[in-house]
Amino acid sequence: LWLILCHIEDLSAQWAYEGLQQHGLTPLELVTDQMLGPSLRWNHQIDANGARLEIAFDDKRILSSRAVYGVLNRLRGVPSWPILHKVREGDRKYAEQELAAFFLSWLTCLPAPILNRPTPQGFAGRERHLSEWVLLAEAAGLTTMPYQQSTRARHEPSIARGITPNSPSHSVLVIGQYAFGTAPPDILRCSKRLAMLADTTILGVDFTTDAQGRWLFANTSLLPDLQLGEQPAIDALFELLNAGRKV
Amino acid sequence: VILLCGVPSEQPLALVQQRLHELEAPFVVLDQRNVDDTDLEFKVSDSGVTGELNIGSSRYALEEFSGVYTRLMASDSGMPADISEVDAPRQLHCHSVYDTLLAWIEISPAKIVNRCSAMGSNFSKPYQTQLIQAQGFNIPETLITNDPDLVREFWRKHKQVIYKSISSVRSIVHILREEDLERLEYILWCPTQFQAFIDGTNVRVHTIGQSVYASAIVTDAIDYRYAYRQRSNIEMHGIDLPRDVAERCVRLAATLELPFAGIDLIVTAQNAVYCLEVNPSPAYSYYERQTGQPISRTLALYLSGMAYDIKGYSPG
Repeated sequence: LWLILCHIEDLSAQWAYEGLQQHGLTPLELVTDQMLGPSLRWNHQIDANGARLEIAFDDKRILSSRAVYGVLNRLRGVPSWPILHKVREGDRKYAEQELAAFFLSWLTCLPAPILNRPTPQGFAGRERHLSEWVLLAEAAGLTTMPYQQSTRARHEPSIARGITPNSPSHSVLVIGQYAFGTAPPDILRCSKRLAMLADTTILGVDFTTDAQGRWLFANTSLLPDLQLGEQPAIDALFELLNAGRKV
Repeated sequence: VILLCGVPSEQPLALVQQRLHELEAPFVVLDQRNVDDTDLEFKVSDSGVTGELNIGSSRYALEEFSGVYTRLMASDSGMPADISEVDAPRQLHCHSVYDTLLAWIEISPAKIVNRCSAMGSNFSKPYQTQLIQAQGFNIPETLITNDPDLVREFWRKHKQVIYKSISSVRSIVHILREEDLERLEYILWCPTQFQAFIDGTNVRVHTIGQSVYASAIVTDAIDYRYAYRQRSNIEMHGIDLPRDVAERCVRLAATLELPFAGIDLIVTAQNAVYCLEVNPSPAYSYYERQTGQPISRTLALYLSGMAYDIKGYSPG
């Protein structure tokens, strides 16, 4: 089976679930953070045969990593387990760290393709400081505004990049070798290059435009709105996920 | 110029200062607990990463730093000792120095020992275990579960089982004893990590670039790092590793993007080598003091770009 892991309010994942099902990617399971609670029986093992996961759901269904063909992974963090609210603060923080470490490990053992691969810096891909994204965007050939950070700007935001809430914004969605959005071809090409340099399969790239109409890199998202790519985005996801089909 | 960041009196940082001084290699210390007169700014533009560090009346262009060694404490515990809880501007400034420094370290082209992003693998022990296994090391059989029955089955299979944190927090190893089986219901609400106990000699390997220093640790403590708490004795001596094991350690550290790493191995009586974990910010001074290995000198040579010996391999 294929898996979509997401948070309960992730409409983009819901849209992808319906689109991929209609495309014929079945069996496909949508697993939300709300389903990944302590009432499940968790069994994560690592031995000479590698790492694997088995989850027994409340309704007796068993999810085994060995039966997974591919994953659309849009988990951005550990779900909040209500039981932890009853624990005193110091222990709760410890338990939350334990759960985060556990989630990272079992997500990592899910078989490829996994879009995006989990990392210690983010479950749905590696989160980076904006300064690092600017450096990568520059290397990818995108036009950037200088990024500046200073400890001297003590009473105002220390990051001044010239982007205001009123700046026009545009987005590009990258899925593997495809890029979607109403952007000039060179912007689409460089956005794909940025995703490649960041070793990230799915990436949203945000831009603003200046008075001369130049597209200026603004920021990125590891959990972009997939609907921006409409049906071709579903086709791209299908192509990537279907590569894991076992024959 | 080498930049050293952290608390200067802390042993690992103090030793590197001493060695750089002996090597007459220029260095600057950014004292994390004394940053009131420290300012830092950097810029990313089409000309790369540029900026300036000001400590008191001294100014340094960030491009001057060819090596950086960080032993930074978390921003809260790294605050000046005399800072008041209500001194918000001062607290904000300390956090700002910390955040700006970490952001710059992540993108600086200098030799960085080690970047924060590279230290991330240690945040989840079983995640790191998967990376370790991919480099060809044996790993202890591991079970993470909230099912007491699975733990009992694991315990029956392995006879000797330890439990420890999944994260890097409160990570002290304990033996799972028979009487502990009665309180396994506690794990129902939080998956817990269990591992087959590997009997053998603990070996701590420090890798610095291509250089390898291995120390054998002889103790009856389950977790030698806390031997004193368990009232156990501990002896340590430097050893040479077989070349293939040393090379695997260097490769593992390189894969984890750690120019300096502390790798914990266990070598069994049958000479099987298990890797337990990789420490991305090793407090090496303890091992240097016990074994006389020149770890701080090699680290200083590495940071300053001088030639250093590739040591620790046994011939053949």
